[in-house]
Amino acid sequence: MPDQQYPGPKEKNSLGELGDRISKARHGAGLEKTVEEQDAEAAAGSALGVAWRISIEIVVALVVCTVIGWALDYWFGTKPWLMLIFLFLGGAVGINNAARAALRIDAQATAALQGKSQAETSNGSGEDGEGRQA
Amino acid sequence: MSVDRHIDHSSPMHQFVIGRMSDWQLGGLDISFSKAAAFMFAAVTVATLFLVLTTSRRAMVPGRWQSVAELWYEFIADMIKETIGAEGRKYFPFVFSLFSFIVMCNLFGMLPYSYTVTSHIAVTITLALAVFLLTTFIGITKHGMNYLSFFVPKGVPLVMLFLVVPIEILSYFMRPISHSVRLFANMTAGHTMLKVFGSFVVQMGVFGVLPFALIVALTGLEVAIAVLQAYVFTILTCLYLNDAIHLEH
Repeated sequence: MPDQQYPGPKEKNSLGELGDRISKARHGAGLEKTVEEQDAEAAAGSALGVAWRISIEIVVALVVCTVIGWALDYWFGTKPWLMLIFLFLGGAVGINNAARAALRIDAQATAALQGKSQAETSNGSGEDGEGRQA
Repeated sequence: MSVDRHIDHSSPMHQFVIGRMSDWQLGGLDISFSKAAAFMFAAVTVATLFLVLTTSRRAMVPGRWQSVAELWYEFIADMIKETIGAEGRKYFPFVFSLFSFIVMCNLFGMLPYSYTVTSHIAVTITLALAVFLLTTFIGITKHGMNYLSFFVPKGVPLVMLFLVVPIEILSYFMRPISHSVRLFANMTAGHTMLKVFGSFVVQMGVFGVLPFALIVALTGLEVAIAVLQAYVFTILTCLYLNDAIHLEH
């Protein structure tokens, strides 16, 4: 009930308004960041990490597999063939690794998003949102 | 320190030369104390001293320094809890040391006149191979021959297995290489770039202000990358440990 939340309606309301105005002013002056802004900053940082994780995966697989094929060719004297096979194999390995990493990150993000929306809906009923994360 | 004979001083690659600080031989083996060894010692010493000193008071309400140490600890503890779960706790010391070593080496590399240990593939591949051997060992001791099912994804037709299994095996052995190249390439490329722009500042005279401004920004970026790459290396270690423990991709 709103009446119970604000026992002294007038004074409390004006105090609350003041608090709102202060935080709005602080935010306007760039002193405070909203939760969304903090989330966005964290996401940008981890996005760079994700980019590094996935991009190198493809390059390394392609290069290393081609070199392996080239070395085997050198060894067996079957000049272009093994290198060509391993070139395509390397492409497959790279895509395999990258897709797997992407799928895993995607699954984590979905789980985090679901946990967040659940916590938001359960906030209204006053339940804790912590036991779920484990 | 001996001056290297092959790469001249103004070259952007000169900073990566492993200078000898002594000349020791042991039965034909070159065990000279190098710049790389010195900076590894420095990284380990500083990390250890920092953590020991900041946590020595063990205050209930942490001060500034103790908070830094606690943040450092919780960062890794949370990462392990999120990626591996409760079974990962016993690998905390390994993961924590790995992260501390890499982040310290990377940050030491950002000091002027210093040397970046992690810009050498020999260092990063040693770390990556340690992780690779450890995860393989854990997987085999935990699951026995079942661990080989790692290479056989579920729900693949029998005919396709002839193609898929070699790809999976190659993927597995590609791990330590991509793990190490990522860190090494980042550090080498970043420091080379700084040196190249640094030489522009000298060569361009008055107009050197422009590359100088760029260097200021790049230095900030390099510090961020030093921490980020240590983080990426560590989280991949956690993911590989998780694969070995829970036998999943």
